[in-house]
Amino acid sequence: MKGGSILVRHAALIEHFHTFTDPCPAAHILVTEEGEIVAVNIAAQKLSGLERDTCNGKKLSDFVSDRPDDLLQYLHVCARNRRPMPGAISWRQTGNGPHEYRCQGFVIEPHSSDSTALVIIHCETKDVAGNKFIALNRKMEELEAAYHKLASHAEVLKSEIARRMQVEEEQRALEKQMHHVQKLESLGIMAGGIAHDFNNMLMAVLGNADLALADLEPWSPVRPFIEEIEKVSRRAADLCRQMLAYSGRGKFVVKTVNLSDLLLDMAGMLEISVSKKAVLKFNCPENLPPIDSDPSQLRQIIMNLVINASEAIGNRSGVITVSTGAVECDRAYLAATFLDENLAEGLYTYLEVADTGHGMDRETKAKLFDPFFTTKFTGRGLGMSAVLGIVRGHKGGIKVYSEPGRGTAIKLLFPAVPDALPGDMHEGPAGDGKWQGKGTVLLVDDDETVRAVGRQMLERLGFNVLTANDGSQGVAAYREHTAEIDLVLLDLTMPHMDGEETFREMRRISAEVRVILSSGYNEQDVTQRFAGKGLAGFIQKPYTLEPLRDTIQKAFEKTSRPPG
Amino acid sequence: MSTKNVLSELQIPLERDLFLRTLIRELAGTLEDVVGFDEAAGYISLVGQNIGEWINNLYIRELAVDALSATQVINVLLDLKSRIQGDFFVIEQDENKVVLGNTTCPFTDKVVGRPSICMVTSNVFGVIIAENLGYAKVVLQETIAQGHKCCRVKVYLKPSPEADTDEGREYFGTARGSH
Repeated sequence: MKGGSILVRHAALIEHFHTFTDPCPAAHILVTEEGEIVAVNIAAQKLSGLERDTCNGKKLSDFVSDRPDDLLQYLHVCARNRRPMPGAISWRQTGNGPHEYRCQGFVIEPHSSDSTALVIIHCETKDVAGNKFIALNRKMEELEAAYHKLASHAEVLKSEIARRMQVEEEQRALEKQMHHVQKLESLGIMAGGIAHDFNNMLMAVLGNADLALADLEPWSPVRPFIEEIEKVSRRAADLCRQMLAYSGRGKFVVKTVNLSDLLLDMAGMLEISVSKKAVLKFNCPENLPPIDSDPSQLRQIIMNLVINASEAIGNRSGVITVSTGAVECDRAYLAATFLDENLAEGLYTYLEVADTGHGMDRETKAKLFDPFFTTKFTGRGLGMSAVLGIVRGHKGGIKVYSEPGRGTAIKLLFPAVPDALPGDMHEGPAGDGKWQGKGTVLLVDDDETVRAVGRQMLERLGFNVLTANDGSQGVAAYREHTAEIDLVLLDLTMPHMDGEETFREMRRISAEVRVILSSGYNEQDVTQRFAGKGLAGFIQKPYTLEPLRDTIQKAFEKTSRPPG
Repeated sequence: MSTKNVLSELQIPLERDLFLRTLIRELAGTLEDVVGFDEAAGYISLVGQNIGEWINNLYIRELAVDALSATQVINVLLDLKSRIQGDFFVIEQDENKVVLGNTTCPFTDKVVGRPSICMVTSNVFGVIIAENLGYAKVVLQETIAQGHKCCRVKVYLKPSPEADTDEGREYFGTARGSH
């Protein structure tokens, strides 16, 4: 050793050695190139039995079973090179015999004229060092990591493929729909053209037959023949009307119509048109948003649908239910209609004819509106085509629900006339001095028509409207929007959670909740049930705009909290 | 003609030199594949150092000197390569460094794709220089092993800021080598 104590000369280096190697699980030895131990880290202390404070100056060869010359040669090689030099050391361990370690050695302080080289030896057991199997394992781990990386890419790729497939599927559906629309339009044009020309010809046939009949003596033997000509011509004219309806070029005299009123006017005629085995039921609320429509065309399609329903029931017993109502339609709802041609979202009035007949399979359902498609022995296949043509002409939509053996329901949607609310047809515009509200109303009702019409009324009164389909949804909506809801318009009779329970739950959320109860029961019955429970008001169903305005106004006046 | 005669007259390029070069290529390849380049380079460096020390001792003994001078060291490097059928030549030289070129590798084309074999050259050069001059840094700028047309090896003879910034292997003289 040259130039005094190594411990003194390399105190800083030794300190660094301990700082960096003591936390390592592998043994590290700081040693001169002549094999004198300078320092050992904690792992090496455990391995060799050396102690940190007393190890300095001891011979490394005393603790290993390698030949001293080989050890010195290895240290000598390490002393030359800053890069790790691989080697092997067999440590003598008390009671266990020699234990072989792989090591890497490199110079940390090169040899100089006044100092010997210092080498760091890093030891690893052969078990964990880079033998072939370990190397293979590492390669396997790398492969596995690469596989996982690839797999994550594959996931991305998979979702991208799924997305593209979905887009392609949507595109195909759109193309199919476009194709269908084009087909219908082409057929419509053709049917309309044929019907137009046939009408002119029928005009001549009917006119001449009529003139002939006028000139004929009542007892003329040719009269029955001419009458037969007239009769068949009228049937042919009916057929032409159907064809024109399908083409959307039929007679179109638009009036504001209440569908319920129109339907109830037809009730008698419909009852005699259906099979004796079929029971015809009507479910037509009075306060229905009106629609702009040609009443004669509406009658035609109602008749077509009811007769089809009756024929679907056939000789068995069955029920035909004709319903009307209103429904707030969003895009998702409209997208599920037959031939959704970008119908506008909003309030629609519907007519639904449901039967308990034989229903339709998927194939029949797909062709339901195709002109000249029929399942009837004597059918011409124009009835449903005409329905489609008329509904399209009204910018409406059609929903078909059918199950073989169980029945069919066909729902026709017609856009409700904006700003023409039931019971409000002659109402003055807002700003005429009548009370207007502001803020948010939560409307809870299980009847979609009440929700749809109620929303329109409340919006007309100046409120933002949230709706809920039943009590539990209502409670959830109230919990979520407690701060912004100024009033709850709550139906009394609902499935699962009725108005009473809903009211109780809402009161638990906020004792300040302002609730107007609506019910078909009379006010006395209801208010008795809710006496002393903080009800803000009651409105009897069916209600119109003015009573609703009055009730809400009183509710706000009754409670100190202003709306909004 | 006997089978033995027929075989001996076959034009198969098989002789001891080719066999040994191929053996080294395969050993280096196996090492690189199994333990990776860094560790393989470490093992070959061990071999290279021992060979470098052996060659250095040969020259010192034959020249009857305690240590080689800088000029002698460079000449020894060129000479030893020439003896093993390399073709090293000086491209440039100053007191701090020498740049050597080589168009023919002693391992011939068997070195291509086996850069760990270049550790033999690096360590032989490094050991001879460091044992005689106290320090060496060998920078393998271009190598036939890596696909270059020729080798370009820069050797620093003493530490310097330029040497510090260059990427290569440093070698140091040892107590045993101090003459």
